[in-house]
Amino acid sequence: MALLDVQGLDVAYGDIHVIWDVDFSVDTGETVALLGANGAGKTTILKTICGVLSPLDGDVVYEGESITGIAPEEAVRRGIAHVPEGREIFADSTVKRNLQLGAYTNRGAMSENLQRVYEIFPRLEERAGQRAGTLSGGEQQMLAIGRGLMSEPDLLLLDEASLGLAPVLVDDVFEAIQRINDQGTTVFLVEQDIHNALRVADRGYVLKSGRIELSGSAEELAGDERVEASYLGE
Amino acid sequence: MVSIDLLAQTVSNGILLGGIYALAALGLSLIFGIMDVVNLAHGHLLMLGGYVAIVLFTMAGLSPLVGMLAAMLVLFVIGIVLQRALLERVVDEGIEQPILVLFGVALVFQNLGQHFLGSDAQSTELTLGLGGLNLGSVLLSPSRTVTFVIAVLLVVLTWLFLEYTSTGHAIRATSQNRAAARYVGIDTDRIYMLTMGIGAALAGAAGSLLSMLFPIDPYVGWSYLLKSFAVVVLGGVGSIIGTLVGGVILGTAENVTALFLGGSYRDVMTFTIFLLVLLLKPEGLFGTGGGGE
Repeated sequence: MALLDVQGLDVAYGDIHVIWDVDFSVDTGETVALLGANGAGKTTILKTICGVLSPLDGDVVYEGESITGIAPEEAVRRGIAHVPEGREIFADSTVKRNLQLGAYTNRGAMSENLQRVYEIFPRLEERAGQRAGTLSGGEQQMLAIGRGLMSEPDLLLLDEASLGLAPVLVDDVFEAIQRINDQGTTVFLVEQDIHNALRVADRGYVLKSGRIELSGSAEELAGDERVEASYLGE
Repeated sequence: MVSIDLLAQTVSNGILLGGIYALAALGLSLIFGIMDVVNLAHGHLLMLGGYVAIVLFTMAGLSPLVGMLAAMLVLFVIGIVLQRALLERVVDEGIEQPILVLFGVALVFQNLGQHFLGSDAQSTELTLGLGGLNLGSVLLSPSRTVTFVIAVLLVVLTWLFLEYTSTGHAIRATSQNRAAARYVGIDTDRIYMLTMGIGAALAGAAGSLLSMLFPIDPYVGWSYLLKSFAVVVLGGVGSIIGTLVGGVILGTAENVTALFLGGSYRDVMTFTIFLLVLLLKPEGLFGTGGGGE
């Protein structure tokens, strides 16, 4: 059974219809990539899954239950963690406090989860007492992902985790995503970086102007010229 | 010529009064720091808190200390209702709309007070059966000392709450980055309600404490709003230590001004401090210059 099943999703900002009849699913244990050019509507889909936006039409089914239009804090409680684009950390708080806040809905296993995050991102442990706003861009991205993991999610939604990072850090981040998935967390990632995304993903969907244009296994998509073409217009 | 004893007495009275100013300002500072809302009704919430204590004192003979607890409860509820009924609709629309709404709320409270409670100033009286404290030639009167201690205690409790409870952490996280707070599962609408509730309850407590020292009438709101502003500006937004120090400085400066120039110059002093801080150190003595987003 699919962990996440999205059916016939339509989303609009006011009068502007941006997502048209989108269907996709993510199975437990998979890493699935949603690819597409800037403005294709990838972030909108993520925000609709985690309840920040409500769809016009369609259904978001998680663990067999409809969670369409759920409050974001409820989505976190059910095991969906969203690592937003642009990182959105708590800049004035310490790295450790940021991570602790990630466990806001799940404080029981705080120290084990903290240990797990430090294992994946040793850099965060070194900087635990530092103000988050003083971290480099790559470290802030690690912090945002680590904070998402602190709620011990079943499904991790990653929005442009590699955007704006130096190439060496991009590799680190994708390696971390791989490890997180290996440890049993299902990952749904939204990416502009086709190459890296398809390297870590099992399957992918290509979104163009708010519609799913292509889908397939990562190998199929990696060899398909239409994927790259969808980024460049026609 | 003012004697040194009188000056010492005036300064110590000012310090004690400053504790209550700090308490009044703390609520204003919290609401601004966390919600980016300038609570123009803050002085009027304080006035209502004073009246809760006054009504319970004059009609039921309850001690104003009990009245203060009642006032905090009543004002906590009023704060939550204000947030749910009015502010929630405008809080994300920039800084001007909440200001207009709260200005209207202040006028409504003032007129309701005038209608139901009358325009005459009233006060409460704290009877403790304790003598004052003598420090050399300075007498710390029981009511001033007790109100100061309670005010500082409430400020410290608020600080402990924000610093050491998970709800406190959630409040501070929301103040830094509301979007991120939602992504980690914090119900930020609830945090805003709680913030308005706590801010109003602190104003209510300050009003009750002031009713033990000075008469309260339905028009005192603006004056205490101004004082609270001056304290927040002086201490720096978001700094609890700053708020305490700012309160004590304002209380002392006001009392010393009143001693040398006469009581009607108190508010001139408040304004002067306000303007000087804005000119010379706009981030305040302990301010971080805003912080967060």
